Amino acid sequence: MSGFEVALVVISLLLLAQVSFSSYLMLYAWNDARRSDDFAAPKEFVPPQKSFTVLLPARHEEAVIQHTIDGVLRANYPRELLEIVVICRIDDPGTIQKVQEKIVELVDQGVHNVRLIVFQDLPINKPHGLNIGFRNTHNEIVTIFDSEDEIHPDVFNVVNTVMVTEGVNVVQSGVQLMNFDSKWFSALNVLEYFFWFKSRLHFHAEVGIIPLGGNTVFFTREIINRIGGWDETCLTEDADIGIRLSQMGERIRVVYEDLFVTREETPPTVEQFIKQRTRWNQGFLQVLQAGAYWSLPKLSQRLLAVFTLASPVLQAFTTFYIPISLYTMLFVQMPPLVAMILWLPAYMLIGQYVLNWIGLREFVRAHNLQMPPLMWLRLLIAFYPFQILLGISAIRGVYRHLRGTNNWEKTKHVNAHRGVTA
Amino acid sequence: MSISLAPATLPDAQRQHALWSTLSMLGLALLSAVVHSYNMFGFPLYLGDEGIYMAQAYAVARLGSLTPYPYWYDHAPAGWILIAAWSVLTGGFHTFGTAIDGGRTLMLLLHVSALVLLFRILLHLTQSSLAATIGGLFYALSPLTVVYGRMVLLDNIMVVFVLAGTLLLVNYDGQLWRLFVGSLLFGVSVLTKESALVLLPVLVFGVWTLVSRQHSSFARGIWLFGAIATISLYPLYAALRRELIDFSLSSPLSGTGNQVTLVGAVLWQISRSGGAPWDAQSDFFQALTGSWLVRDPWILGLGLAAACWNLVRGTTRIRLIALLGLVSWLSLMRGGLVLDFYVIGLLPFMAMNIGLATARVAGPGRAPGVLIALLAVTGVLGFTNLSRQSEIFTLDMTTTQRQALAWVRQHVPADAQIIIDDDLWVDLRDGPAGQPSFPGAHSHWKVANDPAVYRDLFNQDWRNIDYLIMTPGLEEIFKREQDRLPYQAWSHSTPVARFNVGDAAIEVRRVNSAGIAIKDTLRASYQSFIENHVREGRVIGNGEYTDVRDQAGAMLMAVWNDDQPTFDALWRWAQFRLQAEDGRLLHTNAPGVTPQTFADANADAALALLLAERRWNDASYGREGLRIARALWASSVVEIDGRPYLAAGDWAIEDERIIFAPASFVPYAYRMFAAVDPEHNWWWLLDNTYQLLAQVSATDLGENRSAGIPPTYVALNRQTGAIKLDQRGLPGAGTAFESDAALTYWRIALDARWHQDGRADSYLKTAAFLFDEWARKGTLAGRYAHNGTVQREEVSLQLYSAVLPLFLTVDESAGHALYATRISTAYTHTPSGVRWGDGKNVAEQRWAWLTSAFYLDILDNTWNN
Repeated sequence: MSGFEVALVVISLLLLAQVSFSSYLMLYAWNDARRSDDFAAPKEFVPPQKSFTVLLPARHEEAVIQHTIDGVLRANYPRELLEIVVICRIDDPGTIQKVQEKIVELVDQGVHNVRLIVFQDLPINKPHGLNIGFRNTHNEIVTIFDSEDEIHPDVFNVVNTVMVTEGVNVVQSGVQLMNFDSKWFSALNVLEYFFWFKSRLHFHAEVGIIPLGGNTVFFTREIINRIGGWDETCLTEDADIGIRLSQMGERIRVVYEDLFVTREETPPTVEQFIKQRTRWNQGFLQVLQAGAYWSLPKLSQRLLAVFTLASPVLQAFTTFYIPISLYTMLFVQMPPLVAMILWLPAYMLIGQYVLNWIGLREFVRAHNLQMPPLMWLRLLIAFYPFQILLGISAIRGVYRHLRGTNNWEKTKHVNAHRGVTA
Repeated sequence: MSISLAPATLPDAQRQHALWSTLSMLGLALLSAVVHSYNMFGFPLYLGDEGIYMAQAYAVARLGSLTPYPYWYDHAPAGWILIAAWSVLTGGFHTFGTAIDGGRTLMLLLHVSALVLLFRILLHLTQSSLAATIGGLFYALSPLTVVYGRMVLLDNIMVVFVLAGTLLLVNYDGQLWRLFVGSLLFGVSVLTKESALVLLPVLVFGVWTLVSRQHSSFARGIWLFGAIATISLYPLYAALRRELIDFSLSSPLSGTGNQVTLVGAVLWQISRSGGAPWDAQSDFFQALTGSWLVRDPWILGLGLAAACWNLVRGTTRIRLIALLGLVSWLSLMRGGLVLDFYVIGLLPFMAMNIGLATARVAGPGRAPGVLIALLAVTGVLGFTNLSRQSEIFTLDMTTTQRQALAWVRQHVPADAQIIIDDDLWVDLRDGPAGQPSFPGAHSHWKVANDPAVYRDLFNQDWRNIDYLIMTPGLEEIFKREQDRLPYQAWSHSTPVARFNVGDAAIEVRRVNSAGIAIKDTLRASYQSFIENHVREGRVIGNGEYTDVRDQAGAMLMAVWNDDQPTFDALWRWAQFRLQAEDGRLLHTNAPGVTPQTFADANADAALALLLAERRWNDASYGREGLRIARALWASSVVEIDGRPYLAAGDWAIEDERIIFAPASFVPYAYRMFAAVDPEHNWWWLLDNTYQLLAQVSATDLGENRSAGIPPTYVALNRQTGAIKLDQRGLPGAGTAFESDAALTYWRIALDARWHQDGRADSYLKTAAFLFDEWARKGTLAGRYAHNGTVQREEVSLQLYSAVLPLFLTVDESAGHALYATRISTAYTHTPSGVRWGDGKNVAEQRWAWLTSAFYLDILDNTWNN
């Protein structure tokens, strides 16, 4: 075998291992039918006990912010135990005006637990807003929602029950993109969330190392004080805070119940998708470089952290590798054994497609949605181009990280998911 | 329920159950290992298919290819890849005896594994170790599983993977990995033997009905993906080699193209029809009645009945096993090709269905005594059945194959092109340490059908094949295709060795042609002759001192072998130690013996030197040759009335008589002497001696009649040259014919071949007596009186070597038979090289070599060229 062939074989086997492990993570919640209850939300709620502060950092969200506030207010939870704080910067008068209008309207209706906090210092990013919001509030449990979130009315009851009965300080509840049928890449984006929150996060919880989500995550005020709030220099403050909590040995409870998920929307355009994903990738790399995970107590935690945080690099690498491998498979005559090994990642890609298709059926069934005709074919056609989107985002992320470009490319929200609610 | 749960947490009853089931399983495994392994290398006869899979495993392990010959997708390769891995892990293909013995050892392990898996499935489904043991006993004690389970067959490997996949399905308890691993195992079973594919629908049925609702879609998806992805590696391999399907017009199906494809091979396999199952002539019916029911009607009959019952009344998991059994029956009955051993795939399912049915007839909660009674009946039934077929444990069928192998290793040159059955392929191709390997051993299927073998290698000529090793049934196969090389080689061959046990015989045959192997024969036996019999230029004879005939003969061998260094050493020694002042070579270097000359040795030495002059372009050899030739004339030729008479040597010229030895007449040498030595009339000596030779052979020499054979010595009148009436007082064998006299034929036949002298041909034709002896007795005695009376029966290799050219010249087919049975069989490999016969007689070594060289026709006459 030539050196080129050896390299291809080694890379193929590594890819096979990587994709196999990813598939295992995707399937984690289903791996053992006997354990399905372990991951579920409580079936019965205990009486409301904890008080909640909902932080709603908003920037240029004039179109949706009033709707978001209404959504939180619809919660089946006593108003006196619920405090909603919208955080805006002073240079965003549109959103500020909409929030103020809403507060006036609510006060007229006798609702007094919504507040607006306006700040004017730098930096302009989400962790900074969160820290300001956190410092100006007092309720026992702090949670974050994004402006475009559609919140289930019982989510506070779920978290209240889990925190009271299990005594945990951090709860991550499910977040789910819903508009799987609006763009060619939407279904696959939806499925990423589906597998991430419903399945993979449970594995992370088990190992004790969780990159938390950006919203629907609940902390006790005390734990945020202990770790000193959010890192304002980080592009993925959520992942970062998760790693730091794990480092402290804090148990994080993951709850995913299709019914209680916080509903979100996929980015409206390919460009927005790439920008959002680039930011996440860059953030992961930041956290990776920060190296906090290195002081995690267990090897398994460190390995899983590296595997997760380094995934943009792997993705970028794979994107470069796939054309080479395709070219080799189709046009270069190789010894049959080598050629067969080169095909193994392709097999795994097919396996991934099968998992995604089954996942989509499960998703559609869980939310009582309608499966559009020929969806399996559309998913198949979109499957590889979507990998390319991920690849481009990964390459951009790696590139920007290496260049040190750290500005926040914010995602646009158009309320697309609010139309698909069944 | 799994036995591996922490025992401490189990209630006593369960712990006892776990203990009992483990003990039963171990007992069963031990029992089946004993029954399976006892005499497993001896019975049954090595099947050709076993050899094929060992050969293919050998190709994987040693040749870096899937098959030793071009792979044509007759079967998927996982099975023999496993055998290859086993062979590598156990230290090669000769660790356990023959290669097939090694394969059979793996089969033993697989057989026990299958039994354990079967037991675990039954235990899981019935929760009854007794029922599981009953099923296990049916399997372990069935003569069918013992006989066919011993053989190195893909079916035996496939069964283990199918059972493992089935176990992981029936003991599924909510974990996806079990299903996934199970699907991979099932995939591997299909890659081992494609016939496992018929079970796919049944297992899919199992997956669809057994998995938990919580993850049913993923479970089904994963199982199907695992199975299909694994199986698809086979077509992927074919596609990568551009051999998946042939879109050109000359597909193998049209019979015109040579392109092999997976699809073509699969279609061909499917098209192999065996006849409708109810037809008494069909493969299925024949195997069923002729073999399966004879060996074990119980497991098949009870198993089928149990499967039907289980299907009607069982739970889903039990129905799964019932369906596996019934589908296996149906696939055998579909009308395709059915070979005896196809029953292997059926047996575990039959045994399991019996176990399941007994558990339900007398399951836990009914009467435990019934199960114990059934267990006892099963045991008795099994042992009775086996004891009626005791040949399984006592008959050593493979001895013949081992003997044939040993014989071939001993007597056949390593370069020989051999047509073999597949059973000994690996053992011949790659001999164990210290044994020869035969790269020219070819499976008869390939010689008949593979153009790379019959065309490219053998040029469609049976003469390029040297040997055939015939196993029972091969002859019939050859006869079916009489235009193919195997039949042609077979029909032009002579049996040279035969080994039989009962009516199973293995025959080694030599093709009636000089062939390819003889070059190796000559090379190796010359090499060994030089190594073992020549020291510093001197031929070490039977005694302490050297016989000049051995020395001169060795010089001829060296010149014909183009071995100048050896020739020079031989000649230098002869020159210093044997040559007299006048140029004669004396008969020995022994001190204190009156020096004599032998006319034949001097002629041979002179001939060797003259040939050496031409071969190596060095006139000094020729001058020495001429000197010896002149000395020969001076010492051994007597002129009476101007006519030259040849004496056997200077010692043979007495006052009253001249002793003439026909075998010392070397006509082809005299023709050369005539050219270089005009001073003597060699032509006249040639003419006169030919005349004399005919006379002495035909004359009765004082006996009641002459058999027409040359005497060893004959006395001539010194004054007249006439044959004396009184032949008493001759030395040695006198007028009798034995190995020395027989050399006359060798020399005359060479003269006939080189010079087409009519006198030589007509003299050879007078040897009718010997042909008659050969035809009547198939042998030649060691010594005949001049009248043909046998004086010594004991055969002589030198005599056979001496008369071979005679036979080849006068009756070629008798010559081939003589060479095959008398000379090629004397060729023997030993640790110290190759020898002829017992290797002690130097003259025998020389003459066997020279006559083999004559047979191959490499005794070139460089003088005339």
